[in-house]
Amino acid sequence: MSETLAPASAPAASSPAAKPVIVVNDVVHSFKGRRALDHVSFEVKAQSLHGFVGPNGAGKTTSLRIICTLLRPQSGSVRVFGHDVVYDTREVRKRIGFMPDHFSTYRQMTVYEYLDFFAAAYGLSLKQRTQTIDDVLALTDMGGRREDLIGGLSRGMQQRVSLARVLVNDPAVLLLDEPASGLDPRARIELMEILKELRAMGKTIFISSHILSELAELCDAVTIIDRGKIKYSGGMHELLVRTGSHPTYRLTLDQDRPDLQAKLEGLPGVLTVEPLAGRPEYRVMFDDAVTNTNAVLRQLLDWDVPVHGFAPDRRHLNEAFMDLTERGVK
Amino acid sequence: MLHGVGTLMARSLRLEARLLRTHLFRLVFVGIIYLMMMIAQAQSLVKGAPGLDFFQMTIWLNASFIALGGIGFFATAITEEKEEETIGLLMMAGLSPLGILFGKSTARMCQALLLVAVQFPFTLLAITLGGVLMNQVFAAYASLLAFTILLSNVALLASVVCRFSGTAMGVTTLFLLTKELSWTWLAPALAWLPQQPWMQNPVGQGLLAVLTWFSQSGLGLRLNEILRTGFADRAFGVQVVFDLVVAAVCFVSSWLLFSKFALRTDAATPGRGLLQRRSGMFRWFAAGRAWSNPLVWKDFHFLTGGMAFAVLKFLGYGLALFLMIVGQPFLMQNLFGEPWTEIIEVHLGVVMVGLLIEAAISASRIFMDEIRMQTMVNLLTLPRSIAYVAYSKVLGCACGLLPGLAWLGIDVTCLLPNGLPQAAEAIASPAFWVAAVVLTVFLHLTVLLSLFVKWGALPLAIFITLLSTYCCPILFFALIFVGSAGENREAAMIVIGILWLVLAVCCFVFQMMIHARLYELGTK
Repeated sequence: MSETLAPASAPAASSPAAKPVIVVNDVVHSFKGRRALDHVSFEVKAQSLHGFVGPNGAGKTTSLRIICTLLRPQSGSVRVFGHDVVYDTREVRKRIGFMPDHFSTYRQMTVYEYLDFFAAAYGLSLKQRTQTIDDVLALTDMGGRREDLIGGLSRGMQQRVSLARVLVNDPAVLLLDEPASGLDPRARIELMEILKELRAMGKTIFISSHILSELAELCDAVTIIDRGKIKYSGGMHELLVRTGSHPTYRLTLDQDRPDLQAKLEGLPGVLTVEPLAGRPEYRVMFDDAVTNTNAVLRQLLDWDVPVHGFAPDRRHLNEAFMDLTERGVK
Repeated sequence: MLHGVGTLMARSLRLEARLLRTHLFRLVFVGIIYLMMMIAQAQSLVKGAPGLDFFQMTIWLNASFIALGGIGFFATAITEEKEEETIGLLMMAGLSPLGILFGKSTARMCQALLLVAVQFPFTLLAITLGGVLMNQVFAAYASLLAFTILLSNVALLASVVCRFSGTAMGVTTLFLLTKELSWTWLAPALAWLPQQPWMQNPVGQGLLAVLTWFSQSGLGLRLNEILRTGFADRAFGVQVVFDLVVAAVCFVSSWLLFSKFALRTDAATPGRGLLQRRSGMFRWFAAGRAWSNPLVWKDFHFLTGGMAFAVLKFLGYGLALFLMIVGQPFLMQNLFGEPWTEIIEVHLGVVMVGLLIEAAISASRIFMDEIRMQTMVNLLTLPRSIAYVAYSKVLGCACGLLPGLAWLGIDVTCLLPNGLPQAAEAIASPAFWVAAVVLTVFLHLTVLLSLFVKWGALPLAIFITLLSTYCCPILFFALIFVGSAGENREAAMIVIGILWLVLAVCCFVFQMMIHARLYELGTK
């Protein structure tokens, strides 16, 4: 990677030392009397890939538009790298790249003209522009299409051009609103690969998406919003691993054993054994003061149980999402 | 084939009837008629039979409104569907081409006809006020209605055939101008053709009859005739029949050509005009690398046509001058005392009109692409202010005026004898500044309206400007006062100063409104 899009050397997001680069504090925003954001607060840590999920109309786009300085919060504050989005608009805009949830490109321009236009708009010199555009085209794998008209490109290609546009000023924070919407599976996977690469380069990525499975795989942290209120904001791991006073493990068998539940419940220290409907799986909770993972697993093997997997119980993001958000619309 | 013919049309009419703005618009229109009636009543104190004046004002207002507003309203009927790539969806919904034509165009025509019809009872009052006969009222409305039907169908054909709304509007305007001015440009041919021996046969006579018919088909010509005292012709003149026949031909042609032209899928991408790509054969006409102010670069190349179009414009103005010089012995021999001076003055006039048209078109299109392609959001997240973005775009459009301005400079400094002193004198005259102010306000208004209406901002701005100048005669009074000020020039300048101040406030308010609207569009 060239110097224009060089990897940063700040602490990784997973590290507790990572500082928040976006701080949303008690933001309230209403449209025509309908409260879109109701005392919303969350943080996005540096160099993290932070997912932002919620049902339609939950307030995701409003939050993103406030963070990227397009909307002024009616109360509360939002800071990006310590700069207030209302009072330090220019400083915030220098540090962010916002990709809206719709294609917003000049379709009569070629890919190169479009990127050159935005690079110049961010004040890059001619030499810097040439280098940067080459870099972003290489990153988005659009080098071969630089002289193509944007209007003639497929949706996936246009989305790559949009992403390349966001990158021309080498922003530290990328705000992406539904970047994978309307893309075919291949284009979506390729887009996610580019995002992984960007994270590896040290960018902070705040991504709103409906494709929960991909977010779960990709993101370090997630914020779930529903009806204008934050339902969860924190690490992805903490959300998906069922945390409680006792460890909970998921036991997966190759073949079900009807007597297994009763046998497991009889073991010392095992608190609950819950069979999962339709699958040869059990959720096992035990008291770690009495027993431990190895002991339970050893006992299972002694019983000649065909164990396929025994791992900490993780929810799917879908489950967490459904648990945290409410049915229907407000 | 005829499935769903009336569905879309019924829906459009029902939807329009439910909208409050439709009725408010009609109310505003009737309000203007009412205002005119009050002016006529005031006039009755000083002159007899003010009915004719009132009637004339109403009919001309209608004619200009239909012509100016109609172009944008009718010519976008099908092109807007093409640009939004929704024609296929309409067809998939089971609508036939005829159903789409009825729903998209005929419904609009009905709305326009209703707007004209709603004032009919009021104009009958012109008869009570005196000076107008019932026959004149019927004839005038028949002409207006026929013209509306013609315009909507010509625009429909243009809308079906053309890729973009702008092109369709341009073609419709060209047709209207050709038709309205046919009595002037056809006059020499109509005088010359009957004397030719090869015209003395049925075909020649038929052609002559058609040309004569066409030359009498102008709405302006017909209305002048109707609004003359003592009009006693039939209500349905040549113009009405011609308009209805052409309208029918255009509608049928639109239907027949629909499948061939309207289903094109490339209309959503605006064209590049003469602008070449960097890898093309004519690289010199490519946009090249973005300038340090890329917004100026973008609008100069992608809105005004760039270097290629600038060269063409420069050559075009030069060609106009060349043709005037070459044609002078034939066309202007008996008209001008000093041919050279007069030719340059006419050329100067052509250049100024050209500049005015260019400026007006640029003003109406300056934010069009940003709105259509939803790119305002990208511009507003740049580390620049909205004002910087807007003024840079204005500068980009202004670059497109350079060829015309160059010719203006050449005419004044090099070609026109005593050009500079004359120009200085013109600039020093108060009338110049009044015109400049009106033009500035007009351009601001055009930009503002273009942020609210999809198409037709320019005709609407022309209409509002004309109406405002009519309803606020302060401009005319100021001009009359300034013109008759003679030696009392200082007083005249004070009047102009006050006018400037008022209009500067108007411009400031418009700019604030433009700013607010741009912000709103960016955050939507």
